[in-house]
Amino acid sequence: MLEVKDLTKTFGKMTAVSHESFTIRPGEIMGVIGQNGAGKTTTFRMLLNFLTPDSGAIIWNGQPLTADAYDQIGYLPEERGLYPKMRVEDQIVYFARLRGMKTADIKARIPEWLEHFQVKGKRTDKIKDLSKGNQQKVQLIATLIHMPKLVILDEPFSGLDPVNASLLQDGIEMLRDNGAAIIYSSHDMGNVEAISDHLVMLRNGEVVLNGTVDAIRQSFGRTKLFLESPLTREQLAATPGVTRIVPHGAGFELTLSDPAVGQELFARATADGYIPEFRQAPPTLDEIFRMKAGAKDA
Amino acid sequence: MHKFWVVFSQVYKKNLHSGSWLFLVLSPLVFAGIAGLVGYFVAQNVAPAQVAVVSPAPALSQAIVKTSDGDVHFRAYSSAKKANAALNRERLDGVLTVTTTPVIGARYVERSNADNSVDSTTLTATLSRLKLQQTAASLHLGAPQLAALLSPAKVTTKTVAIEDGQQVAKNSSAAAVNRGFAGVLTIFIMVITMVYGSILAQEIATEKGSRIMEILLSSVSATTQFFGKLAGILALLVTQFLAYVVAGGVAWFWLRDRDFVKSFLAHIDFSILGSQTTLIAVLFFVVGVMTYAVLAALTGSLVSNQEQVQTAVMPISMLGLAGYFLALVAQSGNSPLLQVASYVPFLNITVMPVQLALDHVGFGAAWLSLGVAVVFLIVFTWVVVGVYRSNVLVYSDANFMKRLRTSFSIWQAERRTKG
Repeated sequence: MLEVKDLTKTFGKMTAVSHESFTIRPGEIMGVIGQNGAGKTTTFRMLLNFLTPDSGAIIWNGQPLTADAYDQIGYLPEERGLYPKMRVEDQIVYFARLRGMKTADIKARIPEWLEHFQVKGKRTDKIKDLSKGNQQKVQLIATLIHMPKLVILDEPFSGLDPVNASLLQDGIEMLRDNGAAIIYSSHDMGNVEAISDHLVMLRNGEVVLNGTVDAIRQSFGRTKLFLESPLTREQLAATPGVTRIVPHGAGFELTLSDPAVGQELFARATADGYIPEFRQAPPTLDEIFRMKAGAKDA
Repeated sequence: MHKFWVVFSQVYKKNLHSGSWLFLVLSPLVFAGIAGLVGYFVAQNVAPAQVAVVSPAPALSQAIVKTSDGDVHFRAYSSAKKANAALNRERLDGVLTVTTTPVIGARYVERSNADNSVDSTTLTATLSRLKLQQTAASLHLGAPQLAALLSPAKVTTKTVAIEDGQQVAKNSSAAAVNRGFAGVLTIFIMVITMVYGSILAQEIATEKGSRIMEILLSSVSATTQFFGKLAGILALLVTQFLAYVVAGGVAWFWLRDRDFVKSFLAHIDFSILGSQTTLIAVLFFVVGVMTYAVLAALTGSLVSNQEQVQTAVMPISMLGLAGYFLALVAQSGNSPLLQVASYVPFLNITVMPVQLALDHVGFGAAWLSLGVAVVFLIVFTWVVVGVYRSNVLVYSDANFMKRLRTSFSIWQAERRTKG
């Protein structure tokens, strides 16, 4: 279990991360979201021991996270890098040996991993002769083949086509099922919503959201209403508590200041009986992100 | 420790297979081989001149034949007619007709197109010696008297160097050898430090530029990685020397009995190789290679992207060339600039061994400069290991010095935080 407790890091007068706390249990996937400069990469760098926090603690399985835990970590930096002139097998072997694996074990596992990620190319091919997509797959294999217990992925989905993104998602879920604690950052809320158990949102180095995806969304209340009924745009606009109206299919998407307004609208919309659509939901993660990122102090 | 060897073997094996390293190792061998072959064929063509000796006194003929050497090969002929016939068939280069009365005299006929012309002074000297023996015999002189007559006047020479106002004896040929030694040493130290520095700088710069460094530093501590790489590069250097030792051994086995090698080696005084000068030069070389390698690690780790890799090599080349030119200046005379440069880190690596070999400074100064170099190496390594870890976080397009300052301030901030 990874416990981040009250972490603060400053660079001169600039506070990169302020009183950050969260916990990731084994078999749990934590998504970290936030705008550029929010403190995501600084957080990862402190987890990786590249930077020393000014205050606070990083606890891994009850002990401070130090270089001793390197072999249990899998790390994928935001900008990827491989040795272009190295052969695929040598590349994977080198990175995995640095994580403490034995050469024979690595070589035995390489074929199944190449197959799992559908890498098109032989293990004797040079990295530079592979397509970009296949290079990304090799990079992932090199990051994950030692079955890390703590996986840190900085923007893993950026630059991946949908097929590779879903392969990555499979890989992440496989490690989760294997009991790994996974933390990753992303700008793509769709991915975050689909695979994260837990979510942390950073803004100017502070944690502004922390919890399960569902709990976070519910905490904003069911302020979104999708409605298709005899009520006209003017009638809806005149209703107190309706703050925004946007056309949505044959009906409208309303934003409510109070979820209770939904009950009143339901009664009015169904006064004459059947209507095709009435759905009241919490805001999407994307909307919450924009709401929070655009809030004051942003 | 295990990861140290993983990094070490990776650096070592990767470069061992690289074309540039193989070229570095093989090119001097190829040049040496070509030079050896040229020397061999030249020596093949320098066969002794074939000269017939015709004399009424067979004992005299035999005495002359016995003086045959690498330049002239005498052969006794029983008659002038036979000798001339052989000359006409161009089997001989010349015919030496020796008369004994009243005293020893001779006439030498040589083909104008002879392969090897015989120096007339050589013939004169040979015959003069025989004539002297003949005369001595007729005067009934004994061997001791003859020896006394033949012994030349004795002149002894002594070369001295002035150290601290005192005359210190030097081997007479040592001065010339020292000059040659200094010249070879300068080029050798410059090439090796620059080449290996560049290999390491490129290695690290490529990893930094391609972000591989971040993955490496999340697997293995910066210090372990740093020393693993350094050791890998030094192992390559040792491998290069071993390759030369093996090649030299094989060549020696084949060459040691060749005349041209013997005559060449006879002109060289190898005593300098066992001297204190050489010991100091070797120590400077070792310290120098390591200092430049540490500098290479520093400049390499300051790179932000692949395009900047060449800028990582530039400081190494500039310092290396500065040291080289100062060493060249030293060979044409001493100067205050050189006196100072002999103690300046990076420059003293090439300047001081040359200054020492040329007797511009004494051993005390050389050991002091070596001490400065070692202390600098230790402090420099300690700083660079610290900065190296911070450098992985510095990605900027600013110039080299600005990047260095940024990295240095991160390192200091980290030290404060940890303290």
